[in-house]
Amino acid sequence: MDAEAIELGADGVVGVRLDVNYYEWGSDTAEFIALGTAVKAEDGTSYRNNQGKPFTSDLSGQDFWTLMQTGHVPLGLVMGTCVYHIAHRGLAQTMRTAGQNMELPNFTQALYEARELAMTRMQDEATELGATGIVGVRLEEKSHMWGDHTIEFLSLGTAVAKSGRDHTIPEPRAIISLDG
Amino acid sequence: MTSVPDGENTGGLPEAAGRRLGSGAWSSGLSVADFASCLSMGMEPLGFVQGYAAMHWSWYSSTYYRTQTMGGLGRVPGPAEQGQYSEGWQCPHGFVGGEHRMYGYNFEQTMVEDNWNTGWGLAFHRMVEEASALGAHGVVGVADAMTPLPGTGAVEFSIKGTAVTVPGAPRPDPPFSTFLSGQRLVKLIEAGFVPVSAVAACSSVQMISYCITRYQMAGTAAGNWSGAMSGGVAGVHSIVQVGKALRAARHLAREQMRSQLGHDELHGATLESFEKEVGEGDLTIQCLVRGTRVRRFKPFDPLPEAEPVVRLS
Repeated sequence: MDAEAIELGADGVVGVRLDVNYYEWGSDTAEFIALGTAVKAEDGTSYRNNQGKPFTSDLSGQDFWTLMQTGHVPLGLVMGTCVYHIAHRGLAQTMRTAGQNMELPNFTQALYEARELAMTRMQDEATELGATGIVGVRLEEKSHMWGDHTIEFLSLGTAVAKSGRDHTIPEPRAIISLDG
Repeated sequence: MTSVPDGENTGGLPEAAGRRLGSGAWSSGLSVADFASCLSMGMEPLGFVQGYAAMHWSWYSSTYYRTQTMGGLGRVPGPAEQGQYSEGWQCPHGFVGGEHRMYGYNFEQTMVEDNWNTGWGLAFHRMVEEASALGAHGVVGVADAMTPLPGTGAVEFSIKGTAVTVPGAPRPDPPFSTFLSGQRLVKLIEAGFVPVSAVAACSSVQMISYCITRYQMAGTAAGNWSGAMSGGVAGVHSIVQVGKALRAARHLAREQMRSQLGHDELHGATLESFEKEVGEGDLTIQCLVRGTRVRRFKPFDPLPEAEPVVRLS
């Protein structure tokens, strides 16, 4: 997707969607899909990031406009992942906690650590792009085809930086929607 | 806020949390519209913060097993004994057979409630701990969840939000927290309130059905029995025992929430009920109330007249 956008001379790609498809015709085969809309500034300003590549973002057109109004520009879609296996509990462990509702500190720490690692990796990607922040962060959990005990923690968001241009954030106004 | 029991160790934050929170770029779980709204109020995001607690879990207390013995002749704690909600029913048929449920009970499961409070409280405090580590004034856009960990007999409490700072303003200790963000938070502040804390309360009521309730739930109740028992007409039954259990669960959750508010008010409250069948005709009912504890900081100042808008998309 990046290569196609560069070929088009784009400044960025908005509305990026990422997906993984599994097909019946190919066991242990997955197709990774990334698609979005390449855009280019009409006034000739370059919005490419510090790596000379078009920015990528999963923001919609409205969100992209709103972000620009806040004095920020998108630099790229950043993500971090951590795949974790949750151990089966042994008989002794199960017996010790039978009939009691209590915290399982090892599970807490393991799952906590996994998410923090995924987010740290996402932030590292943002730092490489020279970002000041990441907006619209999502933390997703999927087991894909691995079974219940293996979980992928995926953290993703749009890395942003201050544009350095004059901007004013519009004052919120009270409205009544006349739509049904 | 839901309290962690005295002496409970929150366990501290994982090492990776310290590394992440110390890194350069901030992260925000807010949508771009909510991000812009926060900036317009002078709030700047500091970081995505989170807290978790995995708990070994059972939805019913050992009292449930006691009542399963002797055809429902087991004993449940009475209200005078433990100061909890408890109610009993006796069947009108007399002794019919070993399988016949002669007695029915509804009772509050304080063990489940206490453990829910512990799990939610631990996760919440860990999130607030992350926010404090960032030097935040508060956490906005809080979202919580309780999800089963498959095959482990455990559940995980998770609470997430975006830590924010208000440059130049004194920092509350602990930081405030709220389920609100963006426009809804703007409207709250415009109305003269500030958020104090995200709060939640959970009640749990166990219903051990007696014969009439069982027949009604199975749809096999004869009109003259169930209709007469519930004061209704044949074919249209109020299942009294279930109705009372649900009302008790909602009432208990609201009372628990009220006890957390002090002199403050609750904003944006939601109330959800969950039922789980734990045996034939037996239910465990949970009721969950959430909202933001808010405090008035200025008199109500009417908003400017609203502008009518027609969306063209």
